[in-house]
Amino acid sequence: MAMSSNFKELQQELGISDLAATFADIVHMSALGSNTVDVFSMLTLRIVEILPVEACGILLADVNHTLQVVGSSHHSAHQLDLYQLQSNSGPCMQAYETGEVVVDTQLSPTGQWAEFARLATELGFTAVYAIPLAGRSQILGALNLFCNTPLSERDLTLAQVLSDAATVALLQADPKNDEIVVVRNTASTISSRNALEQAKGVLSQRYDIDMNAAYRRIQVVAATHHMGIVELSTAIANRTMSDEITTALNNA
Amino acid sequence: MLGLNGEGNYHADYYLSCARMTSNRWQDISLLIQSDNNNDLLGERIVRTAGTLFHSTSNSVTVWSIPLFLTLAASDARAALLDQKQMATGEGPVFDVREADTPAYTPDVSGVDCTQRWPIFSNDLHEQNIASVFCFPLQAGSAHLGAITVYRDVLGAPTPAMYRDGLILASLATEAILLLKAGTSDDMLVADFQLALNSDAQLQQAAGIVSEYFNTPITDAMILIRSKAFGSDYSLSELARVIVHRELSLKDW
Repeated sequence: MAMSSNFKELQQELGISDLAATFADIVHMSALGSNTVDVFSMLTLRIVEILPVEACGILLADVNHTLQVVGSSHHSAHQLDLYQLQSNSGPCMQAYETGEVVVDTQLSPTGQWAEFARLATELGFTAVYAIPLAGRSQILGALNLFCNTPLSERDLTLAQVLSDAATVALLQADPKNDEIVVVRNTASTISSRNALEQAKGVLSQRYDIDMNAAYRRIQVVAATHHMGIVELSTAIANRTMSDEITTALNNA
Repeated sequence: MLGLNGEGNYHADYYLSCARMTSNRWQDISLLIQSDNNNDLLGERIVRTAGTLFHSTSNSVTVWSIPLFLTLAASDARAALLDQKQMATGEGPVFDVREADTPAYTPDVSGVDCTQRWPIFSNDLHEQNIASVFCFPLQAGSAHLGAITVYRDVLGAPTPAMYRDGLILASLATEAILLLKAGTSDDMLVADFQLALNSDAQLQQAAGIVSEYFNTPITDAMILIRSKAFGSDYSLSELARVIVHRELSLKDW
């Protein structure tokens, strides 16, 4: 389910800050039972507005301790490569394993994650941050930030607060939720992410557009038709869309 | 080698004991599926693995088919019968997990939530002396393939470790069934699936692209990609990557 528009208007009327609005939106979407992938998609877009970062992604560890990207501000194939390169090693894997914030402002092509550093540099990034998503009893994954300039201490603190927000969204506002809830929600989030990726593939082929444009089309049509992006993605992948949605996708 | 029996196969017990200590449960469970004394069919190996993991005698693996689903394998007559009862009543965990996309478990089949949700099928479970049921969906994103059902003699919810094992078993079974349908063997579950898993997001995008290009359901696109990979020099993850990066023309498929 998407965010209700009245709530949006109320926030504007109250003139609350972007940060406060982000938290309010997470609580609101969770209360409405929104899919975690929808929440993470919103959150990653807000993070690039609130913080001086160029791109960001949220990665969760699956049952095999492999990191899977489940929310991203940008959807180009190269950006996805950056996340996939870290599935077994990289700043996010280190943050997940150690529970500590990982900062890499060198991005050395001969360092410990050489291939990742090379690609990040190639894409114009000069600094990468990985902030652990910490539940009470375990680390769930990491928030990955890509920047052109190093973050100030203030911004890094803000980033940590936002990574807590992601954890709260995943664990349904209860960071001490039991282990099965953590495993179930993580698996279900990855499954929803898969449906979104399938739908992006379908649209990119149908309209001869790149993955970024395919994602934007899903986002726009979902918003204008008051659907969640996962709900719409599942309909796209399974070809169960109404004529109205098909037309909207054609014209988006 | 330690842990191998006379025929060169791994003892399930050895795996269970040491698997608790290793983090690579994925590999352990795929080896369990592949430990194959009699060249058993895939479905039989999946239900046997479920039996080993959950200490249960009545397990089944079902796949969605026409008109509803069919039982690929059942470990005993009781599991086969209960699958039939689900089909006949249209009630049961196999139907539930198709809607929910997360595992379902019923810690006590005589509980009110079970009898309310499955008014007829709960009686069948009771008649067969089943105390609790776990069910894990076989799926990849929007594509639902089927389910693994564990009919248990003892009460209780899965432990977190069991729940994880069920998810891993379901993922591996899903991949193995896709590989089988692609006309290849599932021997590469251990070697290649680890790689495929790492590029999972791209593999899903590639499935979407291929599904649209050939105008087929996502599941069929997944099968096509696998049969293409094994008929070529590409690994599954490499193939997904070149499809998504448009380095392979689908015209030349």
